[in-house]
Amino acid sequence: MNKLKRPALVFFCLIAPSFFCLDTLAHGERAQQANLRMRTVNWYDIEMSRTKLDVNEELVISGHIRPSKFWPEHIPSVDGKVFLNLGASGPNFIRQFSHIDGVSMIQSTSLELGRDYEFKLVLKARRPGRFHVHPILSVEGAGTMVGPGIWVEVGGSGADFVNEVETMFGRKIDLETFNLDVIFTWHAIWFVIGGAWIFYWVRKRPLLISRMRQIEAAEADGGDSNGILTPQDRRVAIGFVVVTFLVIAIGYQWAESRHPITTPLRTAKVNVPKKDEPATNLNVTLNQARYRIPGRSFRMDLTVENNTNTTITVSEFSTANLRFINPQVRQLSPADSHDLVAPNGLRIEGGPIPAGKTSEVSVFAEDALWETQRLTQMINDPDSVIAGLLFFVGDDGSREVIEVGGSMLPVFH
Amino acid sequence: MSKQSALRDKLERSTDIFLLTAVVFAVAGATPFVMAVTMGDWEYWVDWKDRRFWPLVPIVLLIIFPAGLSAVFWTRFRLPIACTVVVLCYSLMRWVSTYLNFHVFAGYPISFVWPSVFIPMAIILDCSLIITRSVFVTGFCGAFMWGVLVYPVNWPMLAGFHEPINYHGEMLTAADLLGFEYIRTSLPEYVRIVERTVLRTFGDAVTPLTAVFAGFLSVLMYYLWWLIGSKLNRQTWVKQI
Repeated sequence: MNKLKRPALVFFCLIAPSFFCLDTLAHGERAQQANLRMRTVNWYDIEMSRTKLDVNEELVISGHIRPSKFWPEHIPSVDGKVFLNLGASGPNFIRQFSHIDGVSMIQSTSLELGRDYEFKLVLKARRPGRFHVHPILSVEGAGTMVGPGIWVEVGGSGADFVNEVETMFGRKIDLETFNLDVIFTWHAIWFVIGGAWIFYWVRKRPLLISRMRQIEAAEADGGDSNGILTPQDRRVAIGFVVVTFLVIAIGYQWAESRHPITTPLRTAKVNVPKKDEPATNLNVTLNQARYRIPGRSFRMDLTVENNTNTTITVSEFSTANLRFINPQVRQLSPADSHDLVAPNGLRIEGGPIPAGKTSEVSVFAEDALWETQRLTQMINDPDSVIAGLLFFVGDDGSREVIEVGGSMLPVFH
Repeated sequence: MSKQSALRDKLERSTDIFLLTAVVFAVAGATPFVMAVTMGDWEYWVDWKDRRFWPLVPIVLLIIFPAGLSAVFWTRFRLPIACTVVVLCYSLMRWVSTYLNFHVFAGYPISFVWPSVFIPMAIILDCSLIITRSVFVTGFCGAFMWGVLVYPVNWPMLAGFHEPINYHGEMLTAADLLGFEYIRTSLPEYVRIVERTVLRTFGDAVTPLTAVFAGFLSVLMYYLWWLIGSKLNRQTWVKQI
């Protein structure tokens, strides 16, 4: 027993952690390079219709995506192939509908850099539990661009989930259990026939060594090594071939009679209508961007030309799904523990900008989120370019969303 | 002498059980793993079972172990069971994986992730060997049948999934809809290798052409892996039992 104790203990230590890994809590957001998160897809105005629902109830995720004008050159961009998807830990929801700018996103599409797109994902809850869900945009060759996530709680029972659709021939099917009886039956038929073939041979016992001896003896004597095979073996083999072909033919005919009209799998790319860059009455130039590492402070010096009819100020800076809020303009709290919102994270020097004026403005985005979300790694990016969205709000309630980007200098002291 | 021969028979029966169990375990372990890393997705998802790649890739790759093991079982024991043993073990392990991994752990419905049937092709290949008693003719005819029959064998199960559905004004098959609805975060739609290549210029004849090509490739693969199996089958250390 003592000899077994140590190996058993080692084995237990190796497998024990697996019993405590009950949830997949992250989707690798922080693992992506900083420049990938800051300069690829900007997500904003993300709304979830609710965060508590039951199985079979609907959840709608909507918002805007703006592929960055400063997309890294070395990474394939959205003008290739993209697919609007959901980041979730498995099929806890089913996707009922999704669109970008009103175009159905059942297939993949391509987008343009610097354009503003409206998206919507309509989901139906399938399994109870607490899930962190994100809208995501998969970009061919670049990977998955993860949007902001939110915790959603689903109650009820998974056994109540129903996913019924009607085919074009009026047949109502539940996709959860569709055709299972046919699948199991045909697999069982073939397992039985295959098992019967094996059984015919292995019932002859002893099997291996004695047959090998007979074959070797026949070959040594210059005889026919196939003499071990009997005419009955051949007849049985012919019988199995005939039965196999018969069952294949019957099965095929049965399927054809049951489903006389079928269509192939669908594969295509859909087109989202081309559009211009978002119109704006502001002219914003990023003069300098600096990240001071000790203070976790990101500073942008901007020249803002206000061609609107109202005084404007910066209410928010958003980059890599982090939102830095100017508390003097807007009050916003994180929706949950994983919502990347810094409610007091934005400080402005030199604003508001009166109508018709040009001002030099310094924007400070300061919060520990830079470090906890591993964006301080931006100083290790080979091209030291940053980007993000600035939200300007006017006294008349108007809002403009402007993307800025440019070189960034780290400040080490 | 009769006591000796009874003892010998008993030993040989024990050897049978040991060897066959070892072969089954080895095959059941190795084949699903090798297939998973080569033709995995076409077998995992019903919306990957198209007319162009699914009747071609899995069946051509799956012949590796049956052909290699047939070389051993036929040469040594004149037992035409290798293909069926391999495919039965593979199919059983695929079902275990489908149920435990895809259904219980990941939560996908079995109607979405059911495995294909390859058993009849294995039976035909094994039976060809004993009917013709010729490796050459078995490769030419049996392996050709192996490649050609994938679609008709699986059509009883697959046909229902190709019924068209009018989904928000777009025509999808039930298989497409399953793929769209059941979220696969790491599998965007554009990754799906289905219905590609210019065989579409042959109109509706995509499937028969693919089947013939699969049959042709299966013939070549059969000969190749039979040769490899024969080479690995050489008696090197134990000259006489």
